[in-house]
Amino acid sequence: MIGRHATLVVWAVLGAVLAACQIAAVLSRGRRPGLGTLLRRVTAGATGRIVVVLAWMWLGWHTFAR
Amino acid sequence: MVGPHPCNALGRRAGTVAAAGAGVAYALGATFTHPFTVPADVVTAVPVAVAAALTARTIRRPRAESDTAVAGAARSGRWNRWWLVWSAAVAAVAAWELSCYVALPREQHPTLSVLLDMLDSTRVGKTVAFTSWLALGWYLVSR
Repeated sequence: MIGRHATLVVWAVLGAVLAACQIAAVLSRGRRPGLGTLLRRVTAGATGRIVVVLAWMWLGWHTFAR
Repeated sequence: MVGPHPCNALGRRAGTVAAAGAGVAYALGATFTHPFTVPADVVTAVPVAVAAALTARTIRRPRAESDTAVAGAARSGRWNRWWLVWSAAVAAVAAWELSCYVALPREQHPTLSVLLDMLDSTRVGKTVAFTSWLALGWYLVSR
């Protein structure tokens, strides 16, 4: 059974991994894709753009309204 | 070769600064609302409606040249490895979110929503969160 403290530590580690990937991408000056590139790739087509915008809408509604 | 007129660049920069200021002001206003109330619904629904209208308009535009370049570069071996790294990181976040979601009690297993609620519990935190959400939405619909 894992407790609250351990759960938060795992969240922090996951956040640090994502941040490290993004920093590595920024320092590579375009040789490695970052989050922005990832997003551009996903939203390059109409379907991807609609899905990502819908996800953005849901995130805002879930966080700030409901 | 004639470059962009300095006045146009200045105007664009002023427009960006004004839009950013308006976004922060709107987010600050949103911090005075509370979830599960009509004002919170309205203040969240307005950007959602604007984004829906702008997406419907931009969806008919042809794909940008830079997007085509990104898609082409993404086929290279080095990028494929990095897509795997990103995919693994995102999958790990999704898996952990799912495991926290099914595990109870929630207080012992906080999900991303609970972490966001902790951020939203202060005015500064909610301003940052709402501004970030608006900025992400603007990035998505303005491309």
